[in-house]
Amino acid sequence: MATELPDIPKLHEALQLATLKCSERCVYQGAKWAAELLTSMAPLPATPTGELPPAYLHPLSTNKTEAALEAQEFSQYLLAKSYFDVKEYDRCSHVLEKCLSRKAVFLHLYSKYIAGEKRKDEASEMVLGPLDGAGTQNKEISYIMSVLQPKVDRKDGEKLSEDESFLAWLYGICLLKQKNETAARDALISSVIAYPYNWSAWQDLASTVDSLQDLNNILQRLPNNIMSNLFVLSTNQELYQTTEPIHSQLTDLLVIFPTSSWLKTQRALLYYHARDFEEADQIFDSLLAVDPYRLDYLDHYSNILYVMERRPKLGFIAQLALTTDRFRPETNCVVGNFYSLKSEHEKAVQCFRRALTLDKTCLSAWTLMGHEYVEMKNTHAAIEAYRRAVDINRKDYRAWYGLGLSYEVLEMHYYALFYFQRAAALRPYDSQMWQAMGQCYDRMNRPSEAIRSFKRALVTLNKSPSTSKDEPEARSFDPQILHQIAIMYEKLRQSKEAAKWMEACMAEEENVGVTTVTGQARMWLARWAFVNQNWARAQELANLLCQDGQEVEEAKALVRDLRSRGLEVA
Amino acid sequence: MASAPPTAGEGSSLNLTSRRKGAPASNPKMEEFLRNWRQDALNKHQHDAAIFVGDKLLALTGDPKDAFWLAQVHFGNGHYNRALSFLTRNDLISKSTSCRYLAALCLMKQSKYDEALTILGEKNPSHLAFNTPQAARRKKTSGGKGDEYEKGNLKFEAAMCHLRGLIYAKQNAFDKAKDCYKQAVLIDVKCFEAFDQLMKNSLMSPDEEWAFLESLDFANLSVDGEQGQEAQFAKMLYTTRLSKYKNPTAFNQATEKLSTDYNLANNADLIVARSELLFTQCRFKECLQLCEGIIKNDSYNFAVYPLYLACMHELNMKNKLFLVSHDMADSYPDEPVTWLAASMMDPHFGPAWIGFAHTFAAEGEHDQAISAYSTAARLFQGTHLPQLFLGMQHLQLNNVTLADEYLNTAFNLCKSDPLLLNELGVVFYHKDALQDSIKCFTKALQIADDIESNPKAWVATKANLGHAFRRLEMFDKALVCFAEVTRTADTNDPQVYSAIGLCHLQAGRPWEAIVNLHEALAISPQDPVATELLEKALAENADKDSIFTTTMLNTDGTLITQDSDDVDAIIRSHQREQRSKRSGGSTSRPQSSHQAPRAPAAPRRRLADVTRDYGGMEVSDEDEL
Repeated sequence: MATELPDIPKLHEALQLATLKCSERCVYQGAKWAAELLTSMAPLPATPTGELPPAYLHPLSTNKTEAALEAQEFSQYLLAKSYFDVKEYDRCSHVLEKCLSRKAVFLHLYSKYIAGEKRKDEASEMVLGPLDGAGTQNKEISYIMSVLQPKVDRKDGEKLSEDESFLAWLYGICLLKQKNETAARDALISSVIAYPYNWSAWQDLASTVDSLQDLNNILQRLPNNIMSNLFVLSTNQELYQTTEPIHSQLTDLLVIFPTSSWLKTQRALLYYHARDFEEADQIFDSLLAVDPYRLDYLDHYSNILYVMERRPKLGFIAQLALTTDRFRPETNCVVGNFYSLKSEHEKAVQCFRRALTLDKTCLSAWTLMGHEYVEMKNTHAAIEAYRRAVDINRKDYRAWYGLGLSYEVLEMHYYALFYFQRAAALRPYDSQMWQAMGQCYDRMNRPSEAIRSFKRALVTLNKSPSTSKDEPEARSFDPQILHQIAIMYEKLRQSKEAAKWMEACMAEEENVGVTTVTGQARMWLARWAFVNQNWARAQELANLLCQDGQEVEEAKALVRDLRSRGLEVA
Repeated sequence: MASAPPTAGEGSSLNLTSRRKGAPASNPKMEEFLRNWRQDALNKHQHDAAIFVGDKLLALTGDPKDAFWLAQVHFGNGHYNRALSFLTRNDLISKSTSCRYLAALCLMKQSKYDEALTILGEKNPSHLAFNTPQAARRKKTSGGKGDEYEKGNLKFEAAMCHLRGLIYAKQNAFDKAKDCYKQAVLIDVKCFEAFDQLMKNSLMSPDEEWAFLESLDFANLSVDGEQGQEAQFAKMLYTTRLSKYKNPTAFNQATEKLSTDYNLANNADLIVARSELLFTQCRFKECLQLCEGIIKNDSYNFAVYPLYLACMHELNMKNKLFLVSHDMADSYPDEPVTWLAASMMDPHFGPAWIGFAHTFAAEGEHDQAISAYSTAARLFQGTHLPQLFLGMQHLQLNNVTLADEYLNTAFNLCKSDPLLLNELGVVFYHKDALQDSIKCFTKALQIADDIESNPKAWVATKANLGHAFRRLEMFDKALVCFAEVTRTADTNDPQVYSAIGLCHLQAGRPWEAIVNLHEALAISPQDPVATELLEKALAENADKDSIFTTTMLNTDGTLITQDSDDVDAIIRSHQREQRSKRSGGSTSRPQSSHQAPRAPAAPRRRLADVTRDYGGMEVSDEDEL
């Protein structure tokens, strides 16, 4: 989707209104996001007449009847809003029980939802405890749904009004909680069409996207505006797409929002997915310099530093986050990563648990906790943690991969296979996923499928969309995988085919030099020549192996054998 | 009955000619004075005074009417025996209907049912019912004073029919009791007691009730004999008492009219009727609100309590239920509604038996539940509910045949209860008559919709329908049902997700099946069905080609899909490239550049194994590579 340059003053106004509208409805994250985006734009030039820009305190609905209702219920609304602000959600909901304006209805139901979530969190008690799971549910949902369904479920496909968009969003959230994906997606799409500036609705819509096809399907139904562009960008990022068009779209958007830290973070994450850690590190570093109190996405930064094994820097970030706010899930993830890098896994788990106590939907914490449990050889706990991670966000390939590995440990290959499949579907250009799948098929005694997996792994290596520069031999095959394919053919008793792949494996020495695997391939070929009574070739290959390498003993034995048979070629 | 004493003269039904011969000449002025005095005393519940004066009056007049009134006062005072002996002594029983009635009532109060029945006679005076030819004739010929007398007499005949019914009910002869009650109302529409007995104990099926209402003689109520507003009013009042399973429109019309035209909108009885309708529609919250409204005005209106408590039970408001039950136990320890084990105090309080049985059923004690339901079935012959519950119990015990029998009996009593249709559907489902079961479920849902019932209550039926569709391999329809179930249900049910998974699995979509089965296991991790299905789905998934088909974004922003064939093509082209490079460039092998091993070495194999493996293999053809 191409980004067109919108009318800047209008965009200004729309974002100001969006901030106010979201915060009036207590959708605080949406308000924060819109305000950040607003301030990242270049300031408007002062009007020549010296007129003050219009102030948008309590923007009334554009619909006359709605506006009249809102004005009528303004006092109750104000009371309810102040209750919400002091976290008395049930009271807030109760005040608005009989109100009719859509704004009031939304706040009535939304506060009920929040109250239900709060009770659910309290009821689930300890993280990963017996009551923590899908069995403990938000009990208000069915009431909210019964109120909302007649209001927003339009069978005739009629467009919703701006005020109804928030109701549709809430409806979508509830449907998501019930795992009713298709209906949820419909509700969320109708919400973002009716009012595109509620970022929270876009985020929830993104959570229903599993794959590029999904995204493509959704795109057909969306209008092309600045918000849908932002949505496409962030969803592509979440789907690990790091190709050039996405970077250029990001560049386009940065023209409109030159200082947006959110957009810059997206860039950093794109680099991170392409394993270009240096670039990602630099962007995060610069962001931190501008806004040292920003904790958003810091958990991702700590992941980058972890992979780069930059312990001092990670320690610094952890200290920084701790001094800013030690009760933010992000902070605890950063600290957890730091402990993990120091191999203090118990402490790391404790940090991640703390993060999850603060916010049960903290994706990073679940995945990272899974990794820690793997380190601690607690497979079942690891599986549980990974499972919760993919339940929150099905696009986290690390969690899927982790699930696969854990089930391999438990020798439940069918399960493992499925999880590897999901990981590979998310990152089809990542050979690690396909290799894991191939090994899994091998353990299931299904060599032909294993071959197909390994071939994928082979191809992905040089088809990676990453633009990374430090891979000079981009067009070479991994001899390790070639060797595995050959072994699979051997298992299939297709020796001729196996020999071909062994040859290919040996041939890779031109590109990568002699390795253990190529040595093994050569040894195999020597034996193959021996069996086929191609004495000269057997001799040649064995002789080469006799010089050094792992196969020396076996090669020498072969040479002796040849000699004893008096077949040595002069 | 005696609580609203009519003024002397009115309601008099004694045979005026029975005055004793040779009595002294009457002194009308004195009689009038004494009658007024007696009446005044009665109005003030000063029974002693009334007896004293009444006695004198009787001495003065010797009028059986006055004798009746004296007996009435004795009765009102609770001296049933004395009233009875008084009536017997004066041989009034055989002479007048009203006295016979009073005598029977006295015996009833002393629990001497058989004797009461002897007095009343076992037969109903069916010829008196308004719709018989005799009645028509009577109507034509009668007129003037005789008509007045006839009317009063009829009322007592009706009341006696009602008493007869009560006695039969006490003797557990419900069929006879029902006939008696019906006769009572047929003779006199105003005999509400009998009508109330019929309705309260649901002695008739809904269809029967509506037919019965139509057969009643409301026209008689009108002063001018025409279908006037009195008739309409009474009919509407009665309509509100009928079974709520049928004809909600007629019911709504009646309540509407009563509320607007007769200022009864806030009348407790009418609200109770409305909340009963809401209860049958499973709209518990609204029902509860109405009940609370009544209780606010009249905190001990017992008619509403069974409903109120049931609502609170349905809505799981344990805390409030606790408070209310304690409050009631403190204030009214003698009322049957107060106690759960009410069956001990009033064995004819039917709801208690059903409630009693429900407790057993909930505890899984099927045998006790069945026996309790059976008692209820005996008590409530007109309602299908006990039969239905019996059927449900047997269904749970897997006695499909027995369940079928009970449910069909219930179905004959009431054809429009969605719950019953649901259970029948289940029976059909178990008997593999899937089309029939789909018909039942669809009908149940349709009726539930027609009576504007809360859709939440019918989630199970919807799920059942989904299962039936699934068994018929109509997966799309089944999935629509299940999706609706997940949307309307209060809590996420793992079994629904398992069912969705099974549908996808049978439809050959293992991926979707796995996703949904995961949801089921997320809710209930040890679910054996879901686990087994998941394993099946995973195995099927492993055979799918789609594993190797993936999509990614191309450099030009379009989507590209890769499958195994594409992969083979890429590999071939790569190999061609390599070969041309090798034949063109130097073939020298960088032998010395040893790298660190990139992967752990594969386990060593002995040569002998290898040579044995390769025995008989064809010779490699290197040119092809």
